[in-house]
Amino acid sequence: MGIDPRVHGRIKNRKPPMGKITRMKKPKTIMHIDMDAFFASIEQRDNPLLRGKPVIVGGTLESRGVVSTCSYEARVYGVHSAMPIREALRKCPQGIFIEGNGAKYVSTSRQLMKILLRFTPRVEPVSIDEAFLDISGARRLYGTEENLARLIKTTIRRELGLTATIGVAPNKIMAKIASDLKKPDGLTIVRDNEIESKIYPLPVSAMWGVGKRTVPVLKKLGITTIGDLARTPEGTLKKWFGKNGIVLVRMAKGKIDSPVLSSSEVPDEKSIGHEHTFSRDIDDFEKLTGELRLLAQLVGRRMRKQGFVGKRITLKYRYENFETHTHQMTLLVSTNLDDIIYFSARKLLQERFPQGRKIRLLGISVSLLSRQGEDLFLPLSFFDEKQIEKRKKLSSSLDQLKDHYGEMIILNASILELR
Amino acid sequence: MVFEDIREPVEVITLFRNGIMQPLKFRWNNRVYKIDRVHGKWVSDEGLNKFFHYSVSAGSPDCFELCFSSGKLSWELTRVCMEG
Repeated sequence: MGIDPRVHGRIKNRKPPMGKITRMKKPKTIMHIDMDAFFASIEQRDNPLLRGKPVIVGGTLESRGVVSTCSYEARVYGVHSAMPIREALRKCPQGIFIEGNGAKYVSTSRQLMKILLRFTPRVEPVSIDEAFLDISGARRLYGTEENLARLIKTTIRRELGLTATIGVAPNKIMAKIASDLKKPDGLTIVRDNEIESKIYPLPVSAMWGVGKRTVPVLKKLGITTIGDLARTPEGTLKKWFGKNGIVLVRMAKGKIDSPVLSSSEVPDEKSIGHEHTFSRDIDDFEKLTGELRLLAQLVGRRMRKQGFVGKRITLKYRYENFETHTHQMTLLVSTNLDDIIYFSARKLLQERFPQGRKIRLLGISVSLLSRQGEDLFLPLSFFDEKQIEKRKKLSSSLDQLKDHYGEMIILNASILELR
Repeated sequence: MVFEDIREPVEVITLFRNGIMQPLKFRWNNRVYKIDRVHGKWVSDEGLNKFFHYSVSAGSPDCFELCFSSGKLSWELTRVCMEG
């Protein structure tokens, strides 16, 4: 007599085999909120005379600027963001051109983020008018994701007088695509089992990261939809796009699952850097390394002040003829220590610096930032752990001195030579 | 439609209730305007000084932008938008 597989399955599920711990990954629900024609909608809200009219925000007719955003009434005429104002005027001569009010938009954006934080602490602002929310936990409080999305839309409309479009999906990429499907004032929910039917038929250009340059290459490979991309072997795209090819396929499959980072986890800046143009061009390597040390100290100090660590060190130098080069190295673990930044930048300069050429500008920046709290060490084994601890203490003492007496109170000897 | 920067001090009768400030009436060019609708409000700052901006209507389609300075404790009519 055989065992009924369903019963067997139930027994198996109830009692996992001894010694094996199976940790099921909880499915996530991510919401992408995108305000509809944010700047133009704020202007229309604040001025009833503008309602129902083609409003173009970005600059006056005399300016040489570009369109920041425009109302849906202006979009009918083919006006869109980043279009030169003059072209917008040609397409929509009856448009009302407004210079825009940055302080007003920032203030409204802050109000928006405050509203979103009432529903979940996991709010990641993407831009002034866009945010991701991880509502996996919030769903239990508010019922279905649809109930929650409608409640958020109503709250935004009631308190800000603006409309928002919402996309809900199992990850950020799909949520962003979902919110683009129905605008303005839209709501699109894509569940895990609906990705193939709702997302796969869309053109690849609907996906984040697939721009004007990528689309023609994908087309040559016979990939026109997100579904085509998801079904393509990773190796095929790796040949064409390197590592990014693998990322593209995984994005299309919905397998890239980056977490929603609350604003305290997201750096305010993408990179922290300093650069210096010399009063006289320098061709002496030692003098340049002295300058590098000062730049590394300034960058490190700013990072520590703001509580960031970073993984990628970028060296920038410009020759006397304005030819500019940048070189990067990525550390295994993030850092904000002056010495590590300095030695990394020095290594980059040493490897690339052609003798006999004069340099007019030198700069260091650190990117791939995250919040402080990780251990610091280098792949290049510049320092062992004890040394790193020592250097952390030294940096902290020097920071205190500089806080009290100013940046120039204590300098490395190699910098003094430059002064 | 005409936008006009005014930037003139104005007297405003204001209601402060439950931590919320609400402009009710303002006098400009010896005429009193009764505010019937606040369309939008926002805050900007210059150092420690905060500016509370209100976009309001007062019985006509014209739209007025009022601004309260926390540093000067005074109101200003910043600009007007009129039909025509």
